[in-house]
Amino acid sequence: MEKIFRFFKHLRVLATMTLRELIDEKIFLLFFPLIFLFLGIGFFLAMISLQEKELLFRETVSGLFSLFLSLLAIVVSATQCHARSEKIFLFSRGIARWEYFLGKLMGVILLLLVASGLFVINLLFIQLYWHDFSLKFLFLRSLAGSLLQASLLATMTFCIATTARSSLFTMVTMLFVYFIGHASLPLQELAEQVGPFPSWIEKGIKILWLPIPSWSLFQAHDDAVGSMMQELTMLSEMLKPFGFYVAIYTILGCWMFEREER
Amino acid sequence: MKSLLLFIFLFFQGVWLSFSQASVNQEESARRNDHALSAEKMLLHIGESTVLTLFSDLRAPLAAFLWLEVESSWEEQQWEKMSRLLELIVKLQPHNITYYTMAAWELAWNASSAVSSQEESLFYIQVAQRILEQGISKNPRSSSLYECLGILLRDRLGDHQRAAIAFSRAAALPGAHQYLKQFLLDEINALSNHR
Repeated sequence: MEKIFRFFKHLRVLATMTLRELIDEKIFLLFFPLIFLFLGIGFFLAMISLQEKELLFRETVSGLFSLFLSLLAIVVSATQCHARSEKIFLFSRGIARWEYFLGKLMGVILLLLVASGLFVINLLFIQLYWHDFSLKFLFLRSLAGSLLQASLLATMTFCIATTARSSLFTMVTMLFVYFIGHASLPLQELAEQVGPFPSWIEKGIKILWLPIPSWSLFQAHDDAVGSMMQELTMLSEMLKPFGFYVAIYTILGCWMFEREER
Repeated sequence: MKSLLLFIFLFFQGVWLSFSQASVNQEESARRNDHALSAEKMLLHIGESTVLTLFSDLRAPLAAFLWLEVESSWEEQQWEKMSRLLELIVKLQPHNITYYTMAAWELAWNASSAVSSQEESLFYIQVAQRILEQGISKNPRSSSLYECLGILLRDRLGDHQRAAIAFSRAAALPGAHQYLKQFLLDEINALSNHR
């Protein structure tokens, strides 16, 4: 029991330490202008539109925010596992290597949560002054999808960073992963049009493609807008692949980080 | 240890694969067999896939921006340009149902009513129908798309038989409106009266 408490304490300390470091690096100076820019672009497009103002606002703002959050996750995570002096200091204080890995990852996810929170607060302000706009579940679901996508990207980045020699290599690799994840659905649809292929080929391709998640899994479809139950079902559909991939890449990352300097 | 982790990884992959396999319904696989493509169309599809990949998260803002262009071409009554833009928008955002339904409305009602010749009018209705059918092939569980197709077939083409089929499919899907059953009954009545 004591071990579990100590583990959670280490995790909390490491996560808050990572977040504080990022705040000290003035990362929030980047947040605010960009969030205002995205909201400004969305608002402008909605204002000059004749119909479907809310759709245009939602599409513009959520798309730009998703891109920003994904890039933030990759760039911040890629630099986290390379602070050698910090690692030596912490390991000498009895922190296990995998605890360090998890703590740092939690810190980055905390940062993404703070960024999303700030964004939602801004949206609430907009709702106060723009009476045509209401912050519906669909909007929140699409933001939740962006957050899940960015968190998964952060986990994968940490996993790759354990074997990479430089942050640049990690970032470039992750950009490829990001684009491959986006290519997944269009290529699947293309294969459906070109096919049918023998089932063993389809299975083989699916297995080869499986390590990289399709980001379309985290995109909110606007069809099932309705009851609270439907919204929750749609959200749980996003959580399933998220849990699966996060579990796999966290275990893999911890294991690789444990073996890094043996 | 290494082999154990590899085993766990492959095991989870297998579990996930069986999950995704189960979700592919029979209707989808039957439709897949119907599509045989020429080399030209295939190249076009490859190009589309590449564009969709490269734009990644920017597809949504780009589609929103193009929607403004649709509105300005509607104001200037440039129907051909509007039709091309709408086809591009639904390609950029293939899983956004509102774009399909709005595209169908703009083409099958606005554009087709504004043009003078009968052929042109029919052309835009058919483009709208094609867009909706594309939407259904990409979102087979969308009740709204079947509903919109049913309304188009009923009101713009007077095809009660196919409209009844579309309404029955729309009514059977999750999130379907209650009035769809009434729509279906009306279409069946219209068919029997016609006979």
